[in-house]
Amino acid sequence: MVARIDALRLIAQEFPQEPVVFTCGSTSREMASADRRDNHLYVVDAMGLVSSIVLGLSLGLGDDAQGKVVGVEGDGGMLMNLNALSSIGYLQPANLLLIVLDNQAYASTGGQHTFTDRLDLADIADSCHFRTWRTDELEGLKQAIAEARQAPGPCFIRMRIDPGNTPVPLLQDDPVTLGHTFTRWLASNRC
Amino acid sequence: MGYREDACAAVVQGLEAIGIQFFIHIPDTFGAPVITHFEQQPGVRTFPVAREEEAIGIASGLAMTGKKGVLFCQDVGLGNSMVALTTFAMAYHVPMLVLAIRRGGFGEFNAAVHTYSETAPDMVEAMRLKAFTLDYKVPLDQWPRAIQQAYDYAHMTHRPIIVFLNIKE
Repeated sequence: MVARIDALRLIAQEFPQEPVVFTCGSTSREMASADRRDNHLYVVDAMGLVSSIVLGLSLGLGDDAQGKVVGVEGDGGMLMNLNALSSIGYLQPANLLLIVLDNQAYASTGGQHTFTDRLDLADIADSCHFRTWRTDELEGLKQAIAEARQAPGPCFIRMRIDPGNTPVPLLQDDPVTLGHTFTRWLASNRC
Repeated sequence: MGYREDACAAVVQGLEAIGIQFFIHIPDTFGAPVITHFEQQPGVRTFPVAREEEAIGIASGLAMTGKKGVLFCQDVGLGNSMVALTTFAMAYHVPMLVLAIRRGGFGEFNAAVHTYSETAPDMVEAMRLKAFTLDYKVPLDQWPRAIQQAYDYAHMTHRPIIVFLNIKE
């Protein structure tokens, strides 16, 4: 399987000109460490909120969004806000893509297991009228992203990853600056 | 029309003066006329959400794109949203207007909700969220302007602003 940081590098490379929102903990830390960009929003707390933020971005950008509006969650965060799948499924934003990096654990807090060793989040997304993909390889992730780009309606990629964390510095920027960098990029690009 | 209907009309007037583009709600008995109004407005994207916490995320995303949105919910919804309100909206300086309908108090019919609602203003203050209250002490003809000002204040101060609405008969 794939290390989280390698999946994140691929995601950053695949979406250089589109808004991407990253969940808290090691996901944001590793992304900021590996390939920090202005089109990234690092959500350093509010676990589970990424999908809802992305829904708001997707609705707000609407037809102005020239590509996808992307959220990168972990399995723990997605489980914390399953409501978001129902809301997204109900509203059907055309440009929304959720990528869940599923290591079946709360890796940032010591590796406690989540429900996804028994439940498939992609199945839940299916039932909420997402187009879904399941993979555990970088090539599979790349292919899923390519297919999701062409798919109408909200999309969901469940990518299984290794349970470990890559040692990287903590992300301790003032959240105001994290938000400002992102919104300034949004305003200047009107993707 | 009774006080509830008149108050709801004042809320509608205030929101229309703002020019809201998105109306996010959790259904509420007392505020139902406001919801019904915006569901019938083709120029306002109106939709329910499953839980108030996710509405904070949605409203945040909308605000970051420069769109005008409002969250309309019961005050109990703030209890469901505290982490999102504080560690995201406040921490990231995301402006938003939250209209929170008061439960508990005179006119309440639910035997349990007061255990939350009576202390809701104290909880909000303890969390350092800024809130204002519109109730029978404020003439209804001042509510529309107050709601406009609350929206402007949220954007001027770069944070969520809560307006408690007591619209029970």
